[in-house]
Amino acid sequence: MSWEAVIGLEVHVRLATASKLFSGAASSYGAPPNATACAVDMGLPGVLPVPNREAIAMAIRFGLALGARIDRQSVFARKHYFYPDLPKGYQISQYEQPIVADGVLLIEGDQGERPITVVRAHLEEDAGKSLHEGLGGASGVDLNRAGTPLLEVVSGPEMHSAAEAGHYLRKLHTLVRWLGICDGNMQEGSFRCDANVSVRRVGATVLGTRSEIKNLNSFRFVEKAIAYEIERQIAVLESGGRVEQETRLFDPARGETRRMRGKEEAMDYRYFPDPDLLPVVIDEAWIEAIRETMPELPDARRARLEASYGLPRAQAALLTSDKDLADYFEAVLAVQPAVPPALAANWVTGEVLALHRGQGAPLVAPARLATLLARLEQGVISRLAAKEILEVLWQQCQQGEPPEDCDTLIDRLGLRQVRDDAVLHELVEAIITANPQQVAEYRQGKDRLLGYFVGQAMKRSAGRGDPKRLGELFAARLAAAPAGE
Amino acid sequence: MTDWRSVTELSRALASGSCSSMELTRHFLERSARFAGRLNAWITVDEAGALAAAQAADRRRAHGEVLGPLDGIPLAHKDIFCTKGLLTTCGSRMLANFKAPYDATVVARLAAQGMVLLGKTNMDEFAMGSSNETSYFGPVRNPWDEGRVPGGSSGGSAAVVAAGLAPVATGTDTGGSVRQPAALCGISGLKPTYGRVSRYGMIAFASSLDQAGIMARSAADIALLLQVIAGLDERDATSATAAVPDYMAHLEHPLAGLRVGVVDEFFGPGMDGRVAAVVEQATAILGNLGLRCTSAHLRELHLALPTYYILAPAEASSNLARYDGVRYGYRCAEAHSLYELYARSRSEGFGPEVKRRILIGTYVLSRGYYDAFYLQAQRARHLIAADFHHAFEQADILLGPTAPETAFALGAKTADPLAMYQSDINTIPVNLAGLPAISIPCGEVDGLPVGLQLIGRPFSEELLLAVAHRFQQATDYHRRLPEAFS
Amino acid sequence: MDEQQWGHVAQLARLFFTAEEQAAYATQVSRIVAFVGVLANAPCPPTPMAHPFESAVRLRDDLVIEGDDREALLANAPALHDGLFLVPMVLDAP
Repeated sequence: MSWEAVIGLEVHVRLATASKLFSGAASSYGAPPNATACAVDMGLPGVLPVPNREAIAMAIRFGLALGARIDRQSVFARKHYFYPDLPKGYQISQYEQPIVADGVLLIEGDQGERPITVVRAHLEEDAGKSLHEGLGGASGVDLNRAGTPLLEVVSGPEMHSAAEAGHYLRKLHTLVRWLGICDGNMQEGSFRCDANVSVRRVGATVLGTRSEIKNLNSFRFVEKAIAYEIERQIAVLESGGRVEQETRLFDPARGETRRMRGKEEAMDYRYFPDPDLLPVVIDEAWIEAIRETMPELPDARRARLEASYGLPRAQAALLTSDKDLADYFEAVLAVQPAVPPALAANWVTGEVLALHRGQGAPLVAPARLATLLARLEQGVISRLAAKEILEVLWQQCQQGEPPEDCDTLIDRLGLRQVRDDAVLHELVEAIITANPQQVAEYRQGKDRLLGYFVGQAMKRSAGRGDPKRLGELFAARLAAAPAGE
Repeated sequence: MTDWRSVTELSRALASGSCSSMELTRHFLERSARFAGRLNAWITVDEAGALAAAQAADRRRAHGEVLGPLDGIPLAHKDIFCTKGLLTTCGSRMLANFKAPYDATVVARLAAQGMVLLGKTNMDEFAMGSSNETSYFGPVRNPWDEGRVPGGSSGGSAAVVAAGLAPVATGTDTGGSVRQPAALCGISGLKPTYGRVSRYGMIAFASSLDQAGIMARSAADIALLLQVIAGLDERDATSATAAVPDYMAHLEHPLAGLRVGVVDEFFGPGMDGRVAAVVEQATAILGNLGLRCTSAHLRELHLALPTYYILAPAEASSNLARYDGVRYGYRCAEAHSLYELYARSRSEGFGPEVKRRILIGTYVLSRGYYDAFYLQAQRARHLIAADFHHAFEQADILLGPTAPETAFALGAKTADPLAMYQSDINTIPVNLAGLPAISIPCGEVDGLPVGLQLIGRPFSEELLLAVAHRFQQATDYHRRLPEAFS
Repeated sequence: MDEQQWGHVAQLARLFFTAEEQAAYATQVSRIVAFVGVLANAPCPPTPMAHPFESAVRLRDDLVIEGDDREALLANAPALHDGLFLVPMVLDAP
């Protein structure tokens, strides 16, 4: 019997505004408890919400990026439940009229690229946090996060594997950072995911009973939890049981999901339009103004990098996984058009990214990398030397020192490649003299020893010899009569 | 002192130097102390704060730095407005110890004009009531007859002004809470257009209906204070951007030919015929002033009470969800679970009327009932608003009695909520439509004041005030004081 | 409102009622519910009216204007520890 999994994701994207969704308190992370919660966030008597224009603009930006419908009128509604981290006893959210509807995100599916529907994206305020440690059996409530703007992005139930879900999530993660509407920090909860998972017989058209998995704060957890949940549900069904509609929590330590509450405990949220807030009206001019500031989007940019620079798709995809990286790559080429795009792409996705991943921001200025790659391309320095210089530049960059000019650095470190044939001849002669055994073997037809000779020469020259020229010189010298030997 | 009844007159006295703000403030504080036990109109009297503010006002005057016509004039705030550092109880045990960390916009704006805050007035708990008997701090008594109610929910504000314990007070009006007590206490009370005055810092009852108002001796006094509190507030997203006219200047505008629609349905079955007769006389006076009085209709008026008693409790049930004993307010002793903390704090902290309305409001919003009750009430609200709209095609102002009867005896209606709700039958439709309305004294029945309600189109406060002012120039009902306090 | 509805609604509203209170309230609440129930048969227009004036909400610029009054904001808290509001142990997620 074969089964098909059906997965839908609800992602909470924390919008990168300066202030909160309905108050002028700072929307920041890491302050002492209740230091960035103002009277509005605390739900004091008499306070009123006033919506943040920028949060709405960010939602529009997101909708435009998905080719979604931006509703001209959207309504904030109150969603009621009692919980200590929800100070007003209700959350201001959007219910019947969300701001964004019917968008599409292209993902790399199990059977190639395909569109996933973003059914809706709505604005809502985040809740605070309850802490349970070291309070003598009580819980403590910190409302700093209360009121932070969230965009809840709801996909259709259209993914069929943990890998697809992971891909959707990464694409979404890239997009929201690309648009500058979210910092994407999953540890700090800026990008949180709940997954709805069900399974059905292959070919069935009706959806199976789903469970909702909460507390998924990394890509890996999402994939592990979904994979686990699919297996669990199949096992239940194959043993003749029934999957229950329930909410489950993922336990990262055990790699399992476990039951949190069932459907019978489902809430009666008593949604109704917030009487403190008239409808949000978005006119065409506002949308057009935002459309004009939209950057080239990741998919379009990837296609362009492939087409204009002849980059392989995987490399173009990697470069466009982050807008800063893509910008960086193109900035390098802009400074030194003579640098071959493939070389620049290899270095950016290779050496630069490796250094960057190890240490974090900032990157070596693109102009310096461009000069470095130009020198490499011109044969002024070797690949090895280029790597060494990049590391020095990176260190200076990390320590906030003024970075040295690339050419100055080449000379200071003595890394300028030796291209004077007279000097190289001397080197060739010295290596030949020192390795009679290998010379003899070479002459007897062991051609691959040429690389050995070049390597020895490079070593002796501390990497400064031009390996290409050295190879030519060795070949010519050893092909000629063994003069004076 | 007793001659200086109106703010206008007090302001003139301060300007001429015939008295100081300190003298005025002491005068009202002394009267408040003297009558405190009889009326129970204050929840908090801030003697020290008032004297300090008065002293500051006198100093400004001595230095020629007067802030305006209200500088140094004492006032009272309904205890629903947040006042920084003072108790703000909303008439509830829930907030009996609550000191607001900020000032309501109305409070801040009046303070910025140099007004001297005497204290906070008693009110129905969370403004839910029409008789001031639901207050946790006990009922307020009507200065005209201490065995009767002052009306509600702004009963304390109405009583302090009527008894001369304060020259002017703020109130709030969700279904008549400014106009009905003003009528029952023989003073003037304005409920502005929804959005005209900021609701920031005014503890919410029903957000789409609540509006701050002024309760005073005269329409001219209301104009002076409305000038200060009206206008856009960045902290209230529903506050209106419409320009604020010069209300004082408009008081003298010519009124001849103005069409006044006397609404038939305002004289419904529950109406005391004697009250109706007084209002008819008042209508005749307006006719003598050159206004054209004709008959008008609000045919859907009978839907207003049921509509209101769905919408207001629904919004209230939501607005009052924040009182959970966690961040402020009453907290029950020794709760063993979160649920118990919530349920016991709320059950012990709220009084019966509040609990009843939360229950009804929760019910009409709950799954399976939302469409039949809440949504249907919103549709009915449309009907009522349209009704007013049509009536205003034939008339510039609508008129009727503010309340169906004069002040009733304490306890007369406490056992029968529906009878109590009827007290607001003529005021509630105005809130549903968001319109401005004023109640002014227009006569007496058995020594108890009768209120005349004038209703205007949105943002036509200046017209209402001008009509009321002209009426008060032609009559002296607003100058009468209850004997026991004169 | 029957017994079961009463229980559900009271629980949603986080209100306790003693049997006596419930008995006293039940008649009143039923009368009120019946009173407002007349609306069900009223011929109403299809569009609900959520607000007196159906215009657009006014928006705010994204500026940080609050801060620095933590002490005053926490001063009314019935139970506080290191700036945290204390509640009985929260066992479940919302």
